[in-house]
Amino acid sequence: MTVRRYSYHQVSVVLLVLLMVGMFLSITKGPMSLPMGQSLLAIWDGIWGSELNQLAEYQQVVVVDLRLPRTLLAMLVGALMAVSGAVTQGLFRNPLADPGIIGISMGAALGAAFSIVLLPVFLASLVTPVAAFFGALVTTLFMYKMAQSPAGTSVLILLLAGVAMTAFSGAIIGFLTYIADEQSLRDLTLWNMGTLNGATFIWVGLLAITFVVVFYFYLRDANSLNALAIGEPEARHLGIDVEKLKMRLIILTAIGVAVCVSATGIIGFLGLVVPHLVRLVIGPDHRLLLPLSALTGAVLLLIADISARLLMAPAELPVGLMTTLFGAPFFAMLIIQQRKQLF
Amino acid sequence: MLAIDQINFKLNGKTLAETPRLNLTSGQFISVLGPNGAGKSSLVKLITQEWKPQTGQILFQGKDVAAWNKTQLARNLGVLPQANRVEFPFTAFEVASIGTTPLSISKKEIPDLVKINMLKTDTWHLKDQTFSSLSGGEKQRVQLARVLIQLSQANAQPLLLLDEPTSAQDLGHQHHILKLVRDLCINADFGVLAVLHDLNLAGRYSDYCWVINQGKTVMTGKPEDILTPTLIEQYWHYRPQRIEHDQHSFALL
Repeated sequence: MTVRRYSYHQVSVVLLVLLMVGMFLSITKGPMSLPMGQSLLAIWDGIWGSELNQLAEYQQVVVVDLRLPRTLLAMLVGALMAVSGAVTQGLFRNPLADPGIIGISMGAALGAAFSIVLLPVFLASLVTPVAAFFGALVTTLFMYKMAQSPAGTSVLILLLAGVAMTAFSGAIIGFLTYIADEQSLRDLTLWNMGTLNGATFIWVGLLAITFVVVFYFYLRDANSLNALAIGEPEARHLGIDVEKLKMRLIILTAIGVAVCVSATGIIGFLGLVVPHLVRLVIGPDHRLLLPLSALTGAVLLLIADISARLLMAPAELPVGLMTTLFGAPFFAMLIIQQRKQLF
Repeated sequence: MLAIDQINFKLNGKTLAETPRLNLTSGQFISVLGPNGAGKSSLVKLITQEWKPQTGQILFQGKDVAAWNKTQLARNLGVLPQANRVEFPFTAFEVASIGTTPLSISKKEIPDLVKINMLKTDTWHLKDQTFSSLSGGEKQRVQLARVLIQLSQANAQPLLLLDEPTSAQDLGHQHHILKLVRDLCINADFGVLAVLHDLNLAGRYSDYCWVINQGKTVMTGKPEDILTPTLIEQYWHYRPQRIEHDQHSFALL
């Protein structure tokens, strides 16, 4: 079977254009539509302290304090979830492995929920990402141990263990909501749905730093991930310290997923869908897959968020609902495609 | 180039490898033979450092394999795998280029290096096909190209390990791959250590054979000298008829 691959540069340019369009839409559209030029000027003014724009004060607030951080957060979370998905799939050597599906996101959510409910409010916001990290790390390690067998990684066990893990974490989070006080409960529900509502520049900053660091280390291991795809012993024979590689990737993925989940709650299926789409266009080479997954993830979550805001305007759907609505059928399709390999 | 010096390796109380001093010099093709479960693959795992022997040592190019830097070792010692499952839709070209992982090479040089080695293994015409859609023999040849690329910056003559390279292949492919490897011994002075099941193939392609039984290396020598009906009956529990073709070639029925 001969495959056709598109040029990396062409695809990046297309994605960058889409990203630009998405950003403009995200900043100007919503229950209140604002003129593009004035909105951009308002952002310019917000950064440099000038007064060039002619928007009303409340419109400036909408653009600069609400829509701008929200737009940036959508891009960063989309990108980070997508690359985390690509790396998880490479690590587990299976295209069905996604942080959401195999329970890592839920593990992070469990860690985060503990900190939200059990700690006083002022502490919780600081500790939440860290608690989420430990939840994600423990889950990933557990999943990895479960799925390992002498014959390689068992997808079936991976998926079933993911179901068990998600159910278990869900039950404990349910229990935590019972004992939560009113403030914690509000935090918990808001965030558990997967929403970009709580976007602030603090989260944007944390996400940006996390993305840069995690992505940098992922890219350094792109060649090793390619080698891992032809087999674990083969990767070892190519001079790669496979055990260290796996540990490094597990920790990085746990960090990435934890920070995303702490910022927005669980936004499902991006990590599954995006790398798959990118592989169809550009192939599975991780050196190209990772950067393009980041771009595609950013574009898709931006689009999902814009539609979540516009579909039922002025009411707003949680963006996690949108991604799951499209992601879940996609997942079912992949399972049908892979049916032979599963059994 | 490879000296296995009286190693002993036990796992859960069971001896998996026990050898006298064994040597492989460059340009040699040595077959590792033995009945199922004799410990042939254990020997490969010890050489590739997947397992570490309790006593004895394995010297590669005069230096203990355990003391080698991993990247350096990968440039000098390649393993042709028996399993050929590759995840994700990599093309044959992409799989072969994964051989550049341990090399210090600029991006520009990669396409030519891959092309040369894919031509050598007669796989260049398959370069744009997905690896998973290839036949068993084609996969093996792409993997061989990948290993040759991996060994293209060796300090001295490299060593190639083959772990039952032909077990899943049909007759034509078996001969094709072993002939390719045999040519590397003759023309490029490669050392080759091959775990083989088929004694006729071993007789035809190897310079020496090591016979392993219950973890112990019980016999070494030229194939025409040691692959006798008596020895084969002793370890494989089947007495073949040996038909001499000429001084150096024979067939076992």
